[in-house]
Amino acid sequence: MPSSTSTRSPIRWKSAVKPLSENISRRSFVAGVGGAVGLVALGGVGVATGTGENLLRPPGGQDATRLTSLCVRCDRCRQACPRQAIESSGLENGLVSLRTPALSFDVKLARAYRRPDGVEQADVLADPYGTLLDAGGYGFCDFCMKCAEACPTGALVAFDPARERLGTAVVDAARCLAFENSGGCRKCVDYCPFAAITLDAERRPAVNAALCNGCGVCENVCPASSYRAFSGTSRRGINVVPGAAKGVESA
Amino acid sequence: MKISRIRWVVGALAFVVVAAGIVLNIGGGTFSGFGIADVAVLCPLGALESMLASKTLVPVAVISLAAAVAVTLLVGKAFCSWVCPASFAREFRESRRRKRKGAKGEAEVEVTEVEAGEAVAVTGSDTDAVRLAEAAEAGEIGTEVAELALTTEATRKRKRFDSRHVVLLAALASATVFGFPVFCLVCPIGLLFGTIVLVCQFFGGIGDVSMSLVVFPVVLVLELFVLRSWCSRFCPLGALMSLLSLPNRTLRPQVDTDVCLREQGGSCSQCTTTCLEDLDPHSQDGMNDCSKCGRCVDACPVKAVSFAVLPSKKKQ
Repeated sequence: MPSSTSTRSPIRWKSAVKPLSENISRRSFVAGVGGAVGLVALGGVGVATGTGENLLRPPGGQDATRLTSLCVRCDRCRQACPRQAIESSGLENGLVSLRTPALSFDVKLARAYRRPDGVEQADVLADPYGTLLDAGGYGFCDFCMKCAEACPTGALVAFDPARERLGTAVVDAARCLAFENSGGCRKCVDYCPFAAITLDAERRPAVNAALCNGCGVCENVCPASSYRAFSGTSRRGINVVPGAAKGVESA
Repeated sequence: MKISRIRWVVGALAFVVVAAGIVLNIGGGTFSGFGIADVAVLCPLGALESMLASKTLVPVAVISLAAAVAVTLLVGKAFCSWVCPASFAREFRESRRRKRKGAKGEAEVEVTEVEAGEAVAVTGSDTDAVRLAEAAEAGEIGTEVAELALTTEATRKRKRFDSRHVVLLAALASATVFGFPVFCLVCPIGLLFGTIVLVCQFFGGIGDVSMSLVVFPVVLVLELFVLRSWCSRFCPLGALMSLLSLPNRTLRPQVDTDVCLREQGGSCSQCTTTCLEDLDPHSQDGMNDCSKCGRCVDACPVKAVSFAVLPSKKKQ
């Protein structure tokens, strides 16, 4: 619509603006728009700088989009985890995932090794993972699902550890002690509750990805970097990385 | 006992319970979402954002919203002054400012002129506000008196919406567009408890040390102490609750006109000056923004102001 509207538009503008000015003062409106611009900028920067897909999520939170949109950052899941394996995600992992739950198998105070009194060395060797469970070890996932039960919004949903995985363990050849010393350390092999890690011909750990579901026990018990390196990183000789978001084996 | 003192105790208790839950991993949650076992309520704004961002209907969110409607119907914006840490920060800051200003009660003319201007802009006619401003300028009456009266006058002509409502709209829109609750990232309540979580993780040796440990408190201080007008200018949760409080009629401050000094022709306006929401207990205008803080009740020198459980039948 060309000329006719252009001559009439000022009048229309006035009638449209007036009810607004009656309901909100100009100063207030400007301040509000300022705040609104801030929020839009924050959201835009957040989406533009990545959504935190690289984060390892608690069981039932593998759909990253679902998690970041539904999560109200209430902290219930983190508090509910009996193994203290959930951490509140920081700025480093992106704005979209800020304060959402992520798994951390890195309890620096080494409480994972807390062994109950009266446990014989033989028992530990016979069933390392069971010992870890009985000892109330920290910093791995035993799929108790207390986090999902605590989640009020359904950002964490039901999870079947037999069919789904949190992620997959990957050996870091640059850090793993077995690679450096050609054998000796076999902690991850002994502790893996799913027998997903074996030693190869050169006595180095190898992960069977089909059996691994990312519980994090191997990463937790790995002595590399926690004992030797002071590089300020939580990376170990074996690390669980998110992968195969849902359903390991396709039916 | 003064209501404000009880209120600070209640607020402190609420904070300590949540903070202890974070430190001891009790599993209750924070004000963003709090509950015991399977029963939980969400922050109504978070509930809305969460549903808009995910484009799904979340049962707990719907129930929480219904609960928020019911609670605000009964107690209005009481969450603000009785529970919200940001509001306590404002009250602390404001009372210190007023103490400082109390010594030299001058240099307020600028503010009063602006307020008078706003009052005029609303009514579009000559009002008491203008007369008072002129009188103050001409030195006929004390600037402080004029200011107090003007505040009352400006309050009476309160506009329906303010900047908080614009921010509320933006909070809902940004969640819808960007697919995550954007406002939650900068919410002072979220940042406060988020900081406590980070401190716990730091001392618990969980994960890598995050720069959030520095950024969260900095943003929090910026919002509450540098920006200074978070509650009245920006808080979308306050805006949402003030809208939900529109039908609220209970627990509103009520003035006993037989006792009130102002009603007797005096110049007292302690109740209006102490109000952090710029309300006047003598008027019902904008009363949906009353957070039931009880400062007016505490401030009245003749105890003429009280909380009416039910609205009084006689019209003032």
